[in-house]
Amino acid sequence: METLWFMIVAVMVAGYVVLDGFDLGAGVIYLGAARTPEERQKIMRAIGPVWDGNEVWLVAAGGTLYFAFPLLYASSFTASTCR
Amino acid sequence: MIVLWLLMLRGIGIELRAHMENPVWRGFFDFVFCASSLLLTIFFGAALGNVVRGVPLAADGYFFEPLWTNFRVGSNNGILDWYTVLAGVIALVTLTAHGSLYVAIKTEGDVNRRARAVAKAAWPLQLLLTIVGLVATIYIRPGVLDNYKQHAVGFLIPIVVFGALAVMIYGIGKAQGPAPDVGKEKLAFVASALYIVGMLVGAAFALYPVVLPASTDPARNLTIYNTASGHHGLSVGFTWWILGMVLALGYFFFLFRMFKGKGAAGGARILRERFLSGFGNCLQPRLSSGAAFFAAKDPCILLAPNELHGSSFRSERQLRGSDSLQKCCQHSCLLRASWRECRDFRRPRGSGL
Repeated sequence: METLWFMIVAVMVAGYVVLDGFDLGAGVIYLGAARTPEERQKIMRAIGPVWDGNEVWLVAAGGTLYFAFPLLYASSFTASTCR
Repeated sequence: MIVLWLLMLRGIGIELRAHMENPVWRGFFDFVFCASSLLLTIFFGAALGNVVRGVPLAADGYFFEPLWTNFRVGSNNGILDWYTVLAGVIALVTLTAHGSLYVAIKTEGDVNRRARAVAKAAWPLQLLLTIVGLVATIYIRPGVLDNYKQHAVGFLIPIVVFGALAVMIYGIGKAQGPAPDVGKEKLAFVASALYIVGMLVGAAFALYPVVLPASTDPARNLTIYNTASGHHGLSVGFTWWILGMVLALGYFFFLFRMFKGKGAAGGARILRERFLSGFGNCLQPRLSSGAAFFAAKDPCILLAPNELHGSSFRSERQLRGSDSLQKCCQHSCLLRASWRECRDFRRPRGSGL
């Protein structure tokens, strides 16, 4: 069962990186590849409908982690905030 | 914490940039969007690098890491050292290429050409960094090979990774030229996705069953066994996870289908049909900022894409009040005329309103 959930968390993280990866990448080339307002509008249109949906995968991955491996979740997210 | 701030800034950048028709305002949020995207890729990469390298776990399973110490990989490490910075750069290059290929699929003209050029330029770097990253990982943690030695099937993963890289450059190369080949662009994008999945699965395969290695003492490693929830919870959760995934995948399938194609051209047809059959009235959907995107692809509303994009129409009434739109919608919806008439009625693009 633990192994199964390990795979599930890996799948969720991979899903997040593949999906949000492309709109992050679109953001990286945004200023360089699109120079006029019309061109920028095109990139915004390309990621507009999907980027926030993609970011929900990060939340879902975090939720899955919290559910399956609460101690790991506690350890990694405590370190990044207050200690 | 940094990641959280960057995620917020990025969302703000996307949302606010269109709220004011002012070049300084827009330019500022364009910059915020670009910079936060760039830093996010690096920090996500660095975070993954930390998980592979290990963190200074104390006996209670918690840890504290300064942002950096001496940039060396050791027990006294910081969040950023040469290895995690390398991981950050790998993530930056990989996701830049991934994003460029997506933009290439979704756009035409100059943006498409530049995006393809970025992907092409990033490829050799990506290949080089993949090899350097692999060697560096084996160098700092020789233990990553243990699982691969025990289960030879794991060696399929690097084969997939390098195979995906090869398909990527094939797709990018074939898609060059004045008339872009969407099929090849998509092939390259899928290969890029496969590359990312391969890299992540490769890392997960190497770590298993450890989920957070300790750089202090291997006995303090967090593994799936000493961090997992109770068995009953895990099995009940699995059922619900499947249910949730079916919903999520259904949603994403629907979403990407609706917005498929380059720019507004491809999706408009599907949306038009869907809206006509579903609502029978082009003004039915409420204009939340999400719906503005739907509406912006509607041929009727294409008259006013800029106004719509910025959600400057706060209500349906305001939209109805829009002069040019009203004519069009009266023409097409109220009279139930065909959408072709509506389209013909539309003024040529770029003529302003």
